[in-house]
Amino acid sequence: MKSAIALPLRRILWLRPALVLAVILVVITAGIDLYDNVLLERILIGLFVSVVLVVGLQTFTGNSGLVSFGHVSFMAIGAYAAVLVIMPPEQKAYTLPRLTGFLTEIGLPFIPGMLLAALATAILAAVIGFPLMRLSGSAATMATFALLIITHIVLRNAEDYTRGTRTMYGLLPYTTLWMGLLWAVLAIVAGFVFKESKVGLMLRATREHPEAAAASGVNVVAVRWVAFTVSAFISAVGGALYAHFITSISPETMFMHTTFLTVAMLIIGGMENVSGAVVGAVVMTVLFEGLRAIEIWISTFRTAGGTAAGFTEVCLGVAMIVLMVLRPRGLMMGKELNWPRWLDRAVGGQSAGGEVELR
Amino acid sequence: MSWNQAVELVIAAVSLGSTYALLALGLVIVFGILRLINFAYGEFLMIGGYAMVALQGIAPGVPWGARAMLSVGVVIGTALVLERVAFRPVRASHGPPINLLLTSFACSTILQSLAMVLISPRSKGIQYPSVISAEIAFGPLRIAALDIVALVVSGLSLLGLVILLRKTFLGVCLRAAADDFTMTRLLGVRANRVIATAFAISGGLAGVGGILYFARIGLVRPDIGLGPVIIAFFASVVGGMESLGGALIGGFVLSFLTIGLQAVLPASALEYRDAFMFLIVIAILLFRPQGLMPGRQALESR
Amino acid sequence: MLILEDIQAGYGSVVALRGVSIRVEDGEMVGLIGPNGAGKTTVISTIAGLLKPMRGQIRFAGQELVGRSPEDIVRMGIGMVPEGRRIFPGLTVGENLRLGAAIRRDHSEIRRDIGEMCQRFPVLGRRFHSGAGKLSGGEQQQLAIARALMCRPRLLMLDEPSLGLAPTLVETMFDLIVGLREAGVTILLVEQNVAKTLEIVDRAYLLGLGQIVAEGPPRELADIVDIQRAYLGGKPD
Repeated sequence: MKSAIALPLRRILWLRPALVLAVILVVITAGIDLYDNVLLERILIGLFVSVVLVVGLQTFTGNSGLVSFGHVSFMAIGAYAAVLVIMPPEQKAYTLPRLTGFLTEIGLPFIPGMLLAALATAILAAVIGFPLMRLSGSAATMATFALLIITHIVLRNAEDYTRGTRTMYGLLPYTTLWMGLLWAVLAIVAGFVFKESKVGLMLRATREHPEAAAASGVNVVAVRWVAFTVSAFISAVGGALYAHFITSISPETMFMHTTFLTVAMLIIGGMENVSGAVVGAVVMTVLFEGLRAIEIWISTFRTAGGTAAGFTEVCLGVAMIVLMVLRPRGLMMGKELNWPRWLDRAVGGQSAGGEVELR
Repeated sequence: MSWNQAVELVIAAVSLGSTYALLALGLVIVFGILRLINFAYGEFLMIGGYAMVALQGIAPGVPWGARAMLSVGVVIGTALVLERVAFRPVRASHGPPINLLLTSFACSTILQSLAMVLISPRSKGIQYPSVISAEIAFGPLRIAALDIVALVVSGLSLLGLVILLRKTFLGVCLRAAADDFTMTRLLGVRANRVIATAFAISGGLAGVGGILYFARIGLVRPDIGLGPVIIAFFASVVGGMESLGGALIGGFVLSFLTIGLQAVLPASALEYRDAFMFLIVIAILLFRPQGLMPGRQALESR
Repeated sequence: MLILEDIQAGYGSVVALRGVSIRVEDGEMVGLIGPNGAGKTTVISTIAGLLKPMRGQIRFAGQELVGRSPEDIVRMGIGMVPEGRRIFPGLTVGENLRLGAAIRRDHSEIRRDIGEMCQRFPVLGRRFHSGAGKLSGGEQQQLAIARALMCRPRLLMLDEPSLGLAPTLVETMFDLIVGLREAGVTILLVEQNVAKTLEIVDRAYLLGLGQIVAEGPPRELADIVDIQRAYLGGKPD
């Protein structure tokens, strides 16, 4: 194989799993695009949004070891912020009639608007995260949980900006199949870049042995803070994508239930690395949709007029517990996806095929 | 505000605080030993509420008090089943602590959804003896009978808990496990039994606390658990998460803050009351993680 | 009484012990010495059941220990005074002692033993109702030993009992341990204080980097330790 391609593939180890994941996702997308089934397309876009959210969470929780229940707040803030800058002024006039200031006049195109919203969210996260990163363990978890609730209450009450508890509807469906894929892949790459960067490595050193890392000169608070901010950015992108996929949002749709699912995806897949995040999102989505289909089928038999609503959640919860018992470290068990050995030989690199423990 | 009104408010806050303290204690008991924030705790209350509903339908002839005690039994049973079937296997698989957190989240979802599927997503009314809604006059003061009953019931429950913890060998084991779980095992105390007991007590407190909590709203829904678990969570953090005395104090701090802010804040700011209180939670975690109790060591990060 | 055969144990992917074999006979006092990080605490943890060895066997009075829970191992007659004492600060002295007898059911005997402990360790009697967290380091160490004795162990393991104690207290501590031995308790003593340990034990093992470097009577080991110190400089004390 040409050395120009082979060399970086050999050198940058992290590129391989990222490439594998990207290729798999592209292939699936192309397949579903050609198959032309609206339901499958929607499921796939939903998966891409989930991937972005879970990778966002992984970037912080997976690398630092600190459980965050607050990342869905960044999703929600990102979603609303994106809506505020993207929605055309005419629409804002009747959707958010009491909105004032420059926001009433701007209506950015999707991607710039989304990135701006994510940036704003990241800045907010930087400010909020600054004091929080001193906490560890249970205290950190509780603080992020408190953050989730505070954000929820603020969003519910900032009616001029969010329509309060009422649904914000009529958002334009910018999140198409390929848009979703694009950002899922970008998130994955970002996750890997961060994980293998200097900051990421230092952070991972603090994960198991914070004292030892600190003794080696790692500024524990600082590296956590960077991860927090970066992960907030990614989560906000996920929120913006979500908003323009479902095309309607409310504070309730980005609260406990979403937090539970996102955390579940991360743990089931394996929180230690990006592959785990992606695998978790895929597995949970497949499980969820499969169970949902069964639930609908069962509903047709319930003549009392009720649905079997709730069946999906029950089975999902049970499945999660079973998976945790069988695979406590997640499905990926701390290993990244890698490509098969024959490709390795073609590239001419050292045989690191199969699954590699890239921790 | 007149003196009478102020005194009445204080009494209401004390009564509410005693209920909150019960709820917080139920959460802290499990946290102290397992370092686990049991997100399914709210669902313990929910189960208690539905047990009351079921019993009032199946056995309306049975006196209310007996039905109440039976429903507490149901909650304890649920807690024990959950511990055995969900938490113990996950613990035994030796995964990271976050797995237990997720398990509690999963149990919460499972229980809520079971309620939705098997019962109904809509609220169900819970019957209470009519005396509860009466008001009693003490001279110039008018006090709700509910407040008095709540105070008495909470007080007795707390007394029972204190006796259990301080006077029985079981209580010694539990307190030791909260101090140093591994060392307790090294003395031969069976880990599983300690944890199951903690869950049972947690269930008992949730059951009794739930009856008092539901008395104020009179109904139960599948998602009713979120309110109480947030209350318990807040009160526990204020108390330092590991201290039972702290949970007690936390309950009262929360109730006084709630009722105080309600009386004092202008209507427009009222909705932000909860947000404000959670900011206090974060502030406590940052600046005084051992809680507001004087003289405790800081919460270790585990 | 206690036999470790070719034990390999560690934490996750880190192997802390390699091919460790140790015996302790009935009535003996055996020392386990070695520098920090040599694996001494790992040996104790493995015997106590906190750690499952990757390879090897452990037999106590003929019964296999590997795979049993710590709770079961205590019931077989092995008591432990862990590193750092680990008394329960939230409990009183009396409650700590009571907990030491957690596996026993004979209540009147337990009460008698508690009385005996308070006689043997007078400070415990004086501070019987105080919170154990308020005791000094030396007092806590006495409590930890008394607590471990409450279950009437056949084998008592002590992990660095002199750690963190003032020099005068160290003397007292070692006298105490000798006293235990004279009362008929079989003892496995893990220590960093080589000199004092070799003064009182029957036999000792020298552990280095997870392996038994030497074993034998104190005098032999003392020579080896001196040689180590001379040629390698500054080990193991």
